[in-house]
Amino acid sequence: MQKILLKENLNELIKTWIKKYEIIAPVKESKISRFKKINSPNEIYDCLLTDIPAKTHFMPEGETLLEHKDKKTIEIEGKIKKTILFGLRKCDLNAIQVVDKVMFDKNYINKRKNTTLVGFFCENPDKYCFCNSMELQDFYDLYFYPQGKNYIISIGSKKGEELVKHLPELKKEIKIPNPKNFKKLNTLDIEKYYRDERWKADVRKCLSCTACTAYCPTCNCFDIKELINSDIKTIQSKRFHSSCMSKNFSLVAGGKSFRDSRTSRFKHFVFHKVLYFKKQKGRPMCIGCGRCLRVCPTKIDWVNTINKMNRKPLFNFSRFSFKKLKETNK
Amino acid sequence: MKEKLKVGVYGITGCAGCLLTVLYEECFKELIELVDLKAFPLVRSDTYKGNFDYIFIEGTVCFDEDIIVLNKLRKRTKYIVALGACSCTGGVPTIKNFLDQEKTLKLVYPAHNELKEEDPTPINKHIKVDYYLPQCPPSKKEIVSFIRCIAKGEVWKDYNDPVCVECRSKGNPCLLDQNKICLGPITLGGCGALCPSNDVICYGCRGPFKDANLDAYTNMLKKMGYNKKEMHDKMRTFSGLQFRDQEGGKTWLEK
Repeated sequence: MQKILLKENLNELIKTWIKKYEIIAPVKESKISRFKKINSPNEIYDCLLTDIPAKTHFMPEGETLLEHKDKKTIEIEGKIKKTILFGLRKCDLNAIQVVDKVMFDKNYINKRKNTTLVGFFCENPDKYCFCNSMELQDFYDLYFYPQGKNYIISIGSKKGEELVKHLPELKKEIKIPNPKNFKKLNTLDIEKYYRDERWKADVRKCLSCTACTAYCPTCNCFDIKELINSDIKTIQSKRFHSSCMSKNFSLVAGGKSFRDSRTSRFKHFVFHKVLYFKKQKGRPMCIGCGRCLRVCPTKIDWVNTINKMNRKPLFNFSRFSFKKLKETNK
Repeated sequence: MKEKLKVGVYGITGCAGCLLTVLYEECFKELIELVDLKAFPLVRSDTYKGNFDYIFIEGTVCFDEDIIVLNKLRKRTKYIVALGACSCTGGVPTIKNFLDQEKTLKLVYPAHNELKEEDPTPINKHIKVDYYLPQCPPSKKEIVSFIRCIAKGEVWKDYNDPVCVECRSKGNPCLLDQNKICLGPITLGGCGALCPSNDVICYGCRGPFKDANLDAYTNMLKKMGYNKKEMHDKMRTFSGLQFRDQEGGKTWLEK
């Protein structure tokens, strides 16, 4: 079902929402755009793509998960008011769908239940965007598409329908196109490139600063730290963002780290985003927003690297395959 | 009730800034309530001659007397805690290692040529150090959680990621993108990215991050248009010795 709204009336619509809901929308704050609570529609910053993704709304830094006292543990549920996440791009919406498949703690699910996702068509994509290569799906409660003087509003769920009950319905449904892209990932089948030497040029530039994972809307790995209160009897378990690009991430008792080299960490990051997650859950984890490419201080571009390998595949001379060849020949 | 831990706070050559940090209300309250503060020469005149469980030490080894003090303290305690950048990595005094020794001595102490000097080194070159609380001055939060941790008998975990991790998850704009030499990617974190959050570059006061990719970092700075001297000046401010060791001997910083 689709509804129609004049462009001038958008601000009024948001004002009616503000009375009932808490609205979180892109805001520009000290050179960086992020999702934040707004009090009037004028605060909304119309940007290409927010620098910081919407995941911070569901998983804020240092959120308390558990409290331990007198040998008892209390689970703290993240309660929020009914919230509207406004101004999500197609990639952001898909990122939330991806994280939904992985996160199952009460804290996350409670927040997710009380949030309505309102998407917005991406009119001016960034030069790093490659979302059309990543098999994106339609996933939203409401989705705005600008056409001439109007917004065409597609409705994806009952939650979304409630918000636009009073608006007139569109008789002929319009097919909403995909956003434009300047960049492309040529292939998703990258398993054969694992042993390619050309990864090393990228890894040599990697600082392990973990910016790519902090800004990735689908990266949901976290670390739990226990902090002791001042009476030294209560202890709080808090959730902090953690990154697979750091050596600490795979550290186990005894000081052994499973991914010791920077190369293996970097490759695992890329392969998990593109290949491994698809094998497990049926869709690639990467949603092609290009934030990791945009934010990298040394401008590592793994999309280009894969495209290069796709154009000129090298024959694999690794020792393993050589041995196999000999055995089969015998 | 368990017996409280006996704790001492001492300083060798240094500015006493770290000792003053301990005197802030947040930290001092924990020191008095949770542990038994036996000796603190900066604020207590009475002398305690028994043994300690934990001794916090501030300062760099700059004179031969410092080594004697350190060895005496080591014999009286179970654990030594290095407090502040100077005792952990050498801090500002280690800049002298990269300058002409005699010239600097004459410049700073024109009238006292009889001083017996050592090369400024962190305390772990002379005695065994069990715990490190780096940063200049050390973060109050970290001191407080360390004291709570030992009072409860828990295992203290060092933070082991670069500054960038906390800085990026806070959502700060990157200073390297603004063409400033920020030492974040090669510096040990745990400070909550204090300086970058306030738009000031990281000076590396928490010491080097062990797994840092120094080659990539120096290449990046070269591309940004900085020369080696500017790079080295920043790196030598707090932990030049460590950065030198990290690249194997004297090869890297002297290049």
